[in-house]
Amino acid sequence: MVKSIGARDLFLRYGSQTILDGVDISLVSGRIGALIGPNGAGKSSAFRILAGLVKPDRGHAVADNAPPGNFRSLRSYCGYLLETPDFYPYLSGKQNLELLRRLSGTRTNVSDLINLVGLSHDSGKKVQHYSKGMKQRLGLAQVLIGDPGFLILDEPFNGLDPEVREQMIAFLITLRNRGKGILVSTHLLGDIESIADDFTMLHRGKVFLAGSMDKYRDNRQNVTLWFSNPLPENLDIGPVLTLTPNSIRLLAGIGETEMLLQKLSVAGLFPYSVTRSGILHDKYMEMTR
Amino acid sequence: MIRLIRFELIKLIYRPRIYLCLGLMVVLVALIFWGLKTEGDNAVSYVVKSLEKNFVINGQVVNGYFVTFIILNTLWIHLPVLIVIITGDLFSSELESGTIRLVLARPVGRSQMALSKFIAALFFVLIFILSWALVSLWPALILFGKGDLLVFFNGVQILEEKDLWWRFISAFGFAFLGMASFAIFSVTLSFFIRKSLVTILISIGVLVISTLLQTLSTSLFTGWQSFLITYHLTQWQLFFYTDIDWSAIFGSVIWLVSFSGICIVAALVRFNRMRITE
Repeated sequence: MVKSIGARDLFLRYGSQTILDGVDISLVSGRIGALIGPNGAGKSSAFRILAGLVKPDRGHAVADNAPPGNFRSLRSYCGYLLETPDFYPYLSGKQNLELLRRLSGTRTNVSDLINLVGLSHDSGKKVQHYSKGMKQRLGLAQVLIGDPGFLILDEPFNGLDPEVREQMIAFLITLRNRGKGILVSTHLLGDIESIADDFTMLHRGKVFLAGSMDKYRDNRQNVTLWFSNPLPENLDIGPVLTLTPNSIRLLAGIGETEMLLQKLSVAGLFPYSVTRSGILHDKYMEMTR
Repeated sequence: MIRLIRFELIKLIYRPRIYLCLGLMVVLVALIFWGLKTEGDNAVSYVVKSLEKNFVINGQVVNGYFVTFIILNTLWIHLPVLIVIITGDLFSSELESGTIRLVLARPVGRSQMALSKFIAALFFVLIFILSWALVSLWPALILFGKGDLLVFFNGVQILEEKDLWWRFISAFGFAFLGMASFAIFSVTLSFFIRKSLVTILISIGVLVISTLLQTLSTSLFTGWQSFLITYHLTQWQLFFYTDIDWSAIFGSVIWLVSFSGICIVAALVRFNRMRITE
């Protein structure tokens, strides 16, 4: 069984424009990877290459320690959700999945997949009557046809309402725990930060930063504390970024934040809200500045 | 490959427009039946009258075979239009809707996928031509009766009834080859143009211009007609001469098969180099 797949040294140009320049991407079994970047960073192009839809000008696919191959060879290990998925509108959701199951030549039970993504009540409806969120869920169901070891999901939270997004996140965690390797691209950094194990940040076609989330979890981040009553003027809590009568903003790691909260409680100050910006958010802002 | 062909055929069967096209074909045939039933004898009477000066005519000139022959002669330009509505967007509709990503993200080869599209197009044309033959010949024989066939090509050709079945089967078979070539051409166009409507319009445009040039070729472009697809589409008529020009028929068969082959190769080369960026 293949434990890891990926792409090495991707280089892609459209005309004179460089879309990807020396990008490496990895998926590892039992881990969720996040591919992050602003619009035009090259995320979708990287996903299209991984799916074999676009042939890169340079670069190759890897699967474990096997010799470098082409990207079409990855398809037998992967399920793909490429942007907002499109289905045959004149067929029902179930018919679409059944058709794709036949094409894949697998014995996957389509009804199980439909139940899994919560579409059992609408599976008989023609896809042309589906909402974006329903299509997205159907998209996730089609990814799981054939029970692939790796899932490549381009913007899977697009068009989902908060409740369904929560369900989707929980579902991805379940799949990760079952040993699937998952690569997700998204703009919703808060959502992905809570579940990602690894990340790759793309900026203008190049990798800006990549690594394990664990490495950055203890980094100092923007912490803001909000108080309902005005703060005393002689408050001594060390260096802060901004201090207003009702709020304190400072850079602090998790341990430092805990100590600060303790210190404030001794002084009889209890914030009604503490917000901590995400690791990915801070890095993202740093990258785009 | 078998899985892909089945995949294409299932999609084809579920497309509502396939039934619309078959329905339109039936309507066109029914209109011709109606016209010939009400006015057919009057329409051919002036020709028959001139013949009656020299020949004794027994039986009905406007019989089932004659009606079927008229249908073949009338609809050879209309039916490719109906066919192209289906085949012209077999590929481009997948690009436009983005469903191509669903297919190509599975372990299928591009050449196999393209070939399965062509096979689906041929299957549709086969069903279409068989339906056409069925709704033309069978009701025509019931409604108008049987008899010898009188056709007017370079004078009058009189074909005996016992000699007609194989001629009609051959004519419909040749019609299949011609329509299949045109369908393959339209599928190929869709690999290059990417927009369904534009593909369909260009295919119809080629048909119209080719017909026009073929008409003009007798006076202006003598010798050019063998380069026109419509010239070869109409060669089924050769089966209704008393002395059949087999070399002309084989020439057209070779032209249509070669043309189809070139189209398929072009589509395969194009598709294998295509970046799916939509």
